[in-house]
Amino acid sequence: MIFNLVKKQLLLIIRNRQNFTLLLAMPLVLVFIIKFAIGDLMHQDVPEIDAAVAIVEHTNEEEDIQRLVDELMLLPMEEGDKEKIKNNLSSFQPIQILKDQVFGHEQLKEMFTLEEITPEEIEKAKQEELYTAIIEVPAGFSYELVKSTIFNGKSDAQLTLYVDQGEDFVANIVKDLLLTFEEQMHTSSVLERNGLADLMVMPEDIKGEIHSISKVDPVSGTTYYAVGMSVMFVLYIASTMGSYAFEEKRIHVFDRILLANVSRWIFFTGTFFASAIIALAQLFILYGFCAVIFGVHWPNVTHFLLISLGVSLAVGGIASLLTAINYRFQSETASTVFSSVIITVFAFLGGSFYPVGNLSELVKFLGDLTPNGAGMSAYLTSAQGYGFSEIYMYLIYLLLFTVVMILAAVWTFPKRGKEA
Amino acid sequence: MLEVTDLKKQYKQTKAVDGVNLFIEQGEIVGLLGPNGAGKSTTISMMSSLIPPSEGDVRFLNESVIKQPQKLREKLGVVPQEIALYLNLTARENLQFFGKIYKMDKKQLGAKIDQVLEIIGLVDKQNDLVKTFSGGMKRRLNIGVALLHDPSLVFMDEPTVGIDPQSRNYILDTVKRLNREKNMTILYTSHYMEEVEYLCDRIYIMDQGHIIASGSKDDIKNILSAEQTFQIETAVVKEEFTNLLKEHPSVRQLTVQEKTVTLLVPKEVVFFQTIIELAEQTNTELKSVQVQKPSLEDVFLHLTGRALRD
Ligand SMILES: Nc1ncnc2c1ncn2[C@@H]1O[C@H](COP(=O)(O)OP(=O)(O)OP(=O)(O)O)[C@@H](O)[C@H]1O
Ligand SMILES: [Mg+2]
Repeated sequence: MIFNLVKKQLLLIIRNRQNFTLLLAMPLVLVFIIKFAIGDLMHQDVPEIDAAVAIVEHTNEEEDIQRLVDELMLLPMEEGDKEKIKNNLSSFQPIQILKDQVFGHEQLKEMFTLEEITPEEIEKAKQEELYTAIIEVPAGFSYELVKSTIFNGKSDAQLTLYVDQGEDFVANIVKDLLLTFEEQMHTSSVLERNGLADLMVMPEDIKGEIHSISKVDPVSGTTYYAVGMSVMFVLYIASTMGSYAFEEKRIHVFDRILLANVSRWIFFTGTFFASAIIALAQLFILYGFCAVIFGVHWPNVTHFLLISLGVSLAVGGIASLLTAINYRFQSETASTVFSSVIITVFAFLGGSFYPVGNLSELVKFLGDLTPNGAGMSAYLTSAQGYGFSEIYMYLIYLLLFTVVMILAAVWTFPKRGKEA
Repeated sequence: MLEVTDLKKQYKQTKAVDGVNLFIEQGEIVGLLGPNGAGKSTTISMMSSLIPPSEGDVRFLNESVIKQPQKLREKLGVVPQEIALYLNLTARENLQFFGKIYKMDKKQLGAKIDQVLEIIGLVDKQNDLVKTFSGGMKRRLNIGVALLHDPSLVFMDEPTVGIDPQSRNYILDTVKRLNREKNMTILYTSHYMEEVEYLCDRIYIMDQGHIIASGSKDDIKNILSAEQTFQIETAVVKEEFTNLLKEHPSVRQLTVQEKTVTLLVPKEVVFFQTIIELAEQTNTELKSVQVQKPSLEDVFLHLTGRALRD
């Protein structure tokens, strides 16, 4: 039965040339135009990073740590423990870790060249803007930091960062990096997890941050807009199907379906599945064309399919809700408002036109609440080669969104015995 | 077979149907006649279990349709007043879709579709999109869809509205044939008197939500047996002339349509002479004067004081 309803809906949508234009031709043409008009601009927004960073030490870290060891040795402790602390601390040198493990990390090494300069060279370096960023390590930094870490106290030990105004983007990355680094160093969890005797920083803790920095590994403008247009135009399926369903009511075909002893809920389920399946077909066709014409490929096909499925179900959910509202209020207004206003707002928030998420956290958050925005984030994350752990929350959100839509639709849809 | 008791439907401002009683026996063609807005479609929707009545009951084979619509729906075919078809599907695809929702199996359905196409005379057009059809062809398909599952009872809501005379005659003959050959019971709604006169055994006349008359064709015409109808054609209808006629104690009803004046007068009165006298008196030039056999149209006029169609 449901198959029959879905098949009929497919036939109807294929027969309508206007749909064909709106749902398939238009997004492709837009990707095409954007690719040639502003595709290159897009690329400049996320440049390859190749920056020089200087580090200045107003202190000798080894001496700092030695001073701390000497102080600790005066405390009443067993000889064995003293020996252990001595050994561990001699390898726990925060600045050394920053230099070797953070900036020396494989992925960061390609972006930053770290140079050590003397305090005397600072002024000159600042004036001549030789470096994108200068990290200044104050006197006694490591002593303060490690001591406070051991005694779980607060510390004022702070690195100073000078950045070159001209290179905001890179400077921000360095800033984030240092903040994370300091946080890791201060954090008592390091101690709780390993105990005083095993005091050391787990390189994994910093890896997370390094990973997110390497995110700037850019998606091409074409991929970006192929995704942007697809997730936007797939929404039109929802309003189209909402209108179709209402048309069935208007011309009394719905009455005929009821008279055949088909429950209204089967009809309703048919609308959901037909919309989801048509949405999925549309995504496949669009991405298929994008692959052939624009060379947009997906590193992980399974993830691509899962995301497409999630987006399609969400579209099915929206279509169900629009159908329900249309039936409830006996007018097509819901579909019209959705296709003329809401899709545009959603597309903007979701980043279909421009990566608005970069503007503010709030916009990014709102964008990811829209089904197209969540889908887009998932597609883009997947396009960058991230694994399932980075996209599953988007999938869960899309499913959740679908469920909420369906529940709202069931609640709105006129029940038997009511008018409509 | 089907019985309707004291059926009412109240919309916010309008009483669309106000206390309708009617019944349909197996094998009958019953006519439901009434002007625009009389409540015919609303009555049919309630009878076919699509909208719940505000009051009253509909019983099919002695079971309430309102509580248990399934049984009726299996046996019922409804031809809606609107063209309830997918315009972007072909005739055959429409029939296939609606047949399948009746859970007919493929083979059986294929044969049935051929049969229905034959009945409605669309065999040649079966693979054309419905949107390319003429009004008459759409109407015929609209009927065909309701016949797929071999209903024993069919409601037809103005199935000939807005089509050419040829298609109309085809449809009327089809209805008659279905009744005669398949013993289909039919409720036929219309505001065309001549259709109902031609088709129906029994007739209900509806106006403003009420049944204002019912019975066999003869029963209903007998309402008028006490009266005769004069149709007077004039060169120019003068107000003095019609006023004098209206004031005449024997005239029951008077309507003017362009240059024709229609009068209802008791049978025993010899009125011919009076008409000629009044015409002379007002200098009205008479073209013709006819005494008419009463039609259902006259019955409606008699009952409501209004013409059936404006
Ligand atoms: N859903 C509705 N809401 C409010 N009023 C309604 C509704 N449906 C019908 N009506 C009113 O009920 C009355 C009867 O309408 P109905 O369609 O039953 O008449 P009808 O006899 O079928 O007329 P027609 O010959 O024009 O088809 C009309 O006054 C109409 O405006
Ligand atoms: Mg009607």
